Amino acid sequence: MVDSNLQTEDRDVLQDLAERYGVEGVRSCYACGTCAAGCPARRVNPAYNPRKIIRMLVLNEAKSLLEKDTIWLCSSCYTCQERCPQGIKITDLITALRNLAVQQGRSPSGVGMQANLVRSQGRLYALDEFDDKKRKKAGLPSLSPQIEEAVRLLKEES
Amino acid sequence: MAQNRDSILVVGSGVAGLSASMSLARQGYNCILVEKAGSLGGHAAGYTCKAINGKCQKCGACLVDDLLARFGDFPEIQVFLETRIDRIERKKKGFTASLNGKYGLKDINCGAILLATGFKPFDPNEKSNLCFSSIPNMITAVELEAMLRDKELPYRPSDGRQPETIAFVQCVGSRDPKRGHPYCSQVCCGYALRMAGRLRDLAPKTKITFFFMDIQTFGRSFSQRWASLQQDFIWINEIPGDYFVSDGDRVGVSVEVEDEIVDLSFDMMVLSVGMTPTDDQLTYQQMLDLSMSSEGFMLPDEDRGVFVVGSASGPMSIEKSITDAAGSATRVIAYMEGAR
Amino acid sequence: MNLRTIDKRVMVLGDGETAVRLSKALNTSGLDSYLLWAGGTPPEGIPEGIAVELSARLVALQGQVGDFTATILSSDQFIRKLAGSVMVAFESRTEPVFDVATAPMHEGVATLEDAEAILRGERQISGDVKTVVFLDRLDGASTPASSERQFNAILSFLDRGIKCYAIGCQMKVASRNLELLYGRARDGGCVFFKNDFLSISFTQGRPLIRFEDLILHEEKEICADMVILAENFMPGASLPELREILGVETDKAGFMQADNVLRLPLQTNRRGVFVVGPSRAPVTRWDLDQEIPAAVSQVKELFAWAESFPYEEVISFDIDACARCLTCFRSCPHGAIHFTNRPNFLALACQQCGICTAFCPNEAIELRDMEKDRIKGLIANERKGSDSAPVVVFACEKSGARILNSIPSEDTLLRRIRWIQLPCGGTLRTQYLLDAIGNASEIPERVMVLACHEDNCRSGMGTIKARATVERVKSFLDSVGWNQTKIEFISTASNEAERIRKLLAAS
Ligand SMILES: Cc1cc2nc3c(=O)[nH]c(=O)nc-3n(C[C@H](O)[C@H](O)[C@H](O)COP(=O)(O)OP(=O)(O)OC[C@H]3O[C@@H](n4cnc5c(N)ncnc54)[C@H](O)[C@@H]3O)c2cc1C
Ligand code: SF4
Ligand code: SF4
Ligand code: SF4
Ligand code: SF4
Ligand code: SF4
Ligand code: SF4
Repeated sequence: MVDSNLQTEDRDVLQDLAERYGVEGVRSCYACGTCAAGCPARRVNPAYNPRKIIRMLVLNEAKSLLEKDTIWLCSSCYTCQERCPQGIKITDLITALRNLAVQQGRSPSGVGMQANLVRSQGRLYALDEFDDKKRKKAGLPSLSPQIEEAVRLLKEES
Repeated sequence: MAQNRDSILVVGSGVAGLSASMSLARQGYNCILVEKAGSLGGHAAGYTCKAINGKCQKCGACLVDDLLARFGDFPEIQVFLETRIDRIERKKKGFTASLNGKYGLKDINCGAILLATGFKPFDPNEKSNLCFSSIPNMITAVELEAMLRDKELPYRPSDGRQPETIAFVQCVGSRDPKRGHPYCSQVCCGYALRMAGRLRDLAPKTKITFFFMDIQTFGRSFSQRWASLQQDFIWINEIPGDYFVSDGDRVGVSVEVEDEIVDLSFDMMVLSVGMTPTDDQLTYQQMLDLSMSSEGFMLPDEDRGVFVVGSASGPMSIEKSITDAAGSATRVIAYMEGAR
Repeated sequence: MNLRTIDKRVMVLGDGETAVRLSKALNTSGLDSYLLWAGGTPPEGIPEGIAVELSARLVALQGQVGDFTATILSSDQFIRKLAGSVMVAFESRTEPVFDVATAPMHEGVATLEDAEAILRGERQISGDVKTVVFLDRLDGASTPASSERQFNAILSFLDRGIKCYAIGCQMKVASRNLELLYGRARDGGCVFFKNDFLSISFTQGRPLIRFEDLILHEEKEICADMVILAENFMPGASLPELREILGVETDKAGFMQADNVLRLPLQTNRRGVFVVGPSRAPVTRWDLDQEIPAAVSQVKELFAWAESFPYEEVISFDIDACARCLTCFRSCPHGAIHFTNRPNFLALACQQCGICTAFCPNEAIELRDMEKDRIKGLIANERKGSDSAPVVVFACEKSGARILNSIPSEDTLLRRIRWIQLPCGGTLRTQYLLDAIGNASEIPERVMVLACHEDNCRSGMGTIKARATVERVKSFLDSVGWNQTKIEFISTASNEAERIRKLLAAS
């Protein structure tokens, strides 16, 4: 239901997106469909649809968008953003939405786990023996499981 | 009649330039008409008649022949074909233009300038996802116009066969603010639907699909016509994302249909390309110190004797170009009389 | 050259802005204009020099360009005025789009005109309006003229902090700067929905609109404070009567210009009678801004043409053969025959369509250069050299003849045909066709008539008449058992050379 209560609250989301992440102009979407028709993530998972994401924002339905996992399906290939005739920064917008979702503690569990790993070890995935074995075969030195420099930097940043 | 008045320089001889110069000539002004091409008439001189079963579809294309037929009666208009303008100098009164072309170099004086330099059809190579140059059976509507005019029927560039399925994609290069074209080209819905009607009339088995956003009203009694057009063709209210070669020589697209991406393919695809500013526009803007309209076309500077007429001022149909030309003639004359 | 004396006053008929602007534009350009104003109070902003007749209605118009006599009913008095040209410039009527508002008119439902009155402060809104829904035609046949009004109203409502939604079927943006206006409405916060179906009900006095959002594929409903219906532009109320009085064509909707590109930009079938702005078609602001100065040029060009028109008769009339049957008067599509006790042919109004000559039962009228005997001679002599030329073609000057003229003379195709140019398909007479068969030096295999496509005929009637003439001759030949000659009617346009070449080559 398009209803005035929803609007006031969600307008803040659009404002947030504009002010904090610099992604504006969502409203200029005229629903041509170019973004959805070329989206590789949509091909894999038909439930995903960048045009619907834009549409939900236009309709002030950002709240339910943040609650769903769909925004996490984007592969950030930038195809849609490259092609949108209205110049809407679709991919950047989805990234911004993900940031908002994380702030609201609403990321899928895998994302949180990965974030913890980066924070504690400075790596996107944990190193194990298998990796070292492969490196040895190629004549490369073994790696330390933790990148101390990265961990320190991340700590300083936060 | 008006021998000692200053002449008016008209640049471009499309429907706009032809109509404007004839209107001025009839009202007693001498004109110098400069055309860069080898013949008069501009784009419309290459279009097909779109009549269906002996009934005119009011596309207006034959009006250019009408203009050309009457054009011969005007000794007041001096024509320079295959000629361009190198320089224009503003003088205390009027302008001096340096013509360069078929007849050599020549400086002429004039009291006012009418730019009727027309438009450039959108070049589909500018939109990379169309893969225009690598899909043989994808053509532009300009090519289809010429094909129907010169060969009467459509033929596939790849093998010369007549296509059984044809898809039109609307708004190619129009309604595209990102590429600097924040306007509807106004004519492509009309020409595409009229040509599609003609194709069906000539080859009734042809199946025609339209990919579109909004279909623009064209001509009178559109509502009845729209109702029957909806039956005649397949309508997909979406713009495709990817374009590719499929089954060897067909044209494939990926497009949203009923909330799903599907791949469709056709024997031939026609891009309904829009109207964009000409390559010369910038030169003229600089030469005459003109600004650009919010749609990206030339703005006139009528108080200083520079007028822009027809599609050089923004997308418009043949009909509107003719009206605009007559209207501009009135303003040019007001300027000339005021300047005297 | 001996110039004709032409009355250069222009009579403007109207009831609003278009007529006022037009009279002013004519006046500024040095033409005397005279305004026949429908209303009883004088329009604002009319400068001194323009005469205005109030509460005036045209009841008859006689004559031709440069010399019209108008009979006017003005405040119960008949008056006579002379003018060189007449311009029809009435405003249009608007009609709300009712195909969506199946519900009865309701407090919460307004027309776009109401909304504009509210915005101008001429009308008050009851209650607090926070949300407005604009409804457009759902059949996809709206016009740029009407969406222009809608977009402007949306922008004004948004300016006042009112939430706006708009539902329509196809967004009409095909006019100067209209796509930009549409963009501004979206950027300003108006949400547009496209659908061809919706329902309206009323809950607690507020309109409730239900429909599907075709992008999310979800049912949506909007509870609005006000629904604003778009309006269709209709021909002004005075046009139906005026059309009869002036004897001019209209299109199917009743706008005062035929659906024929040869009338563009502002002409009617009656030379010297122009139609400008909303009387002609639904127009946007931009259109009107072009049409008004265009009208000035058009009439000045016509006056210049008329002045230099030679004093030669284009029609020869045999008064002894005339039965005063009025057929010519009734059939002339251009109002070029003035009937006293005999037909009088108005040289400046006649467009040489030949319809009268083809219809006259007594062959009392002949168009210059189209005399029966001359055509007969042409048919006999047009044979080129000693080749056999088994095809006879009658070709309208505007279409078929242009194509034939464009064929290079060395083309062998031309050697097989004898062709006669007609000024209009309407000039084709039964006798010409019979002569082509019976009086030719060689019995033709084919007789072809190439005239313009229907609705692309200069006289409007010529093609129809020519086709009928061909049909008649065909059935006559059938009835007498003549089968040596194939006789056919083909409509074409000047840009169909390839098609016609193929047809000619097929013989
Ligand atoms: C595919 C297609 C189909 C169309 N079909 C229709 C239709 O069916 N009906 C309709 O109403 N409209 C149609 N249009 C639109 C129509 O083409 C334009 O309305 C019309 O051509 C505008 O006339 P113009 O005189 O303004 O410009 P143009 O036709 O572009 O003429 C401009 C002239 O100026 C000359 N020129 C340009 N620059 C210079 C220079 N620097 N020096 C000298 N000369 C110069 C050019 O050579 C040309 O002759 C179509 C458009 C396209 C793209
Ligand atoms: S490509 Fe851009 S304008 Fe088109 S539907 Fe997607 S976001 Fe909207
Ligand atoms: S960036 Fe994301 S939404 Fe856009 S096309 Fe790629 S996967 Fe799809
Ligand atoms: S207006 Fe168009 S369809 Fe009609 S006759 Fe002329 S070219 Fe053919
Ligand atoms: S006329 Fe039709 S195809 Fe052309 S830009 Fe406008 S909407 Fe698109
Ligand atoms: S149609 Fe012929 S006979 Fe009848 S009034 Fe006219 S000229 Fe006379
Ligand atoms: S030739 Fe045509 S226009 Fe002229 S008088 Fe006869 S019918 Fe009228």
